Amino acid sequence: MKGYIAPDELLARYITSSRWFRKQDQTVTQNAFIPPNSELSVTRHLQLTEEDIWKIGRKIVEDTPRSLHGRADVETSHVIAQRLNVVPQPVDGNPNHANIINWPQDKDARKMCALGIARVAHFVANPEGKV
Amino acid sequence: MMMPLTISGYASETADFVAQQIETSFDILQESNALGFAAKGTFQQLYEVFEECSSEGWDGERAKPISVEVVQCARRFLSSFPLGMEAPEVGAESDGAITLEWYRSPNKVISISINPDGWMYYAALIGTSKRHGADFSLMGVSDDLVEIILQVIGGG
Repeated sequence: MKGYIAPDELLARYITSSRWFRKQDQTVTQNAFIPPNSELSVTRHLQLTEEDIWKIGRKIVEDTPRSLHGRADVETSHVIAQRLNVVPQPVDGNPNHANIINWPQDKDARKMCALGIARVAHFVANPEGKV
Repeated sequence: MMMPLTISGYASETADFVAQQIETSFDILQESNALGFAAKGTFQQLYEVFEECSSEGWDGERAKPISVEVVQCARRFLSSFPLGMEAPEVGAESDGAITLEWYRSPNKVISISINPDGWMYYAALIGTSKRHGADFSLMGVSDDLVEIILQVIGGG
């Protein structure tokens, strides 16, 4: 079912800045999980192949000067553990798009949530890209 | 009507001169390899981040640009650190903030954000302990925050 996001579903956050992951130990910085406003874009792995997931990421950086360095995979339960919610928000070209919402108003509290997610996120390098 | 020059006027000139001399001396120390963030390349990283992230949507999505004002706030904030401190990694967040990070492991890390509103926000994981807070960035780094950073990097 696409309208419900199960706690064990994997979410991908595309890493489009070289400063959003640490080369030395291939971990993700909290910067990758700070929303630009009240919601943070992620892509559900649901029913997608590895190639499908990378194709969506490549589409995001297409026509921009950015590189797709990789993605940060995190289980939905870890997001919920930070008292955040994940809601499906399909967009053109990405029916698996979702938003992480319910961010606290205070930036330091947001950073604490982002640190908690980044701590357990798994960095996957773009197999086609330079890392 | 012109106000007469008062004693406090002279005192103010002297104070300005002293402040300027202190700032110049501090800038020289910042250039020192052993002591300053300038020589450690931190200010250079700051300008690189600005170049990479100063346009709308720099993350390929909806990121807000890093502004000149944020860079200036970050530079001033960095200049307030005690000399000899380990240099942070500089980064950017998609809400337009510049970040300074000291990292040892996913469970031992502190991230400080200098936001466009001039405020500084920090969050730290030190084992099972969590610390977070906010302060006005132009006030410079507090002793408490330096202590938290030292706990993260293992010096305190």
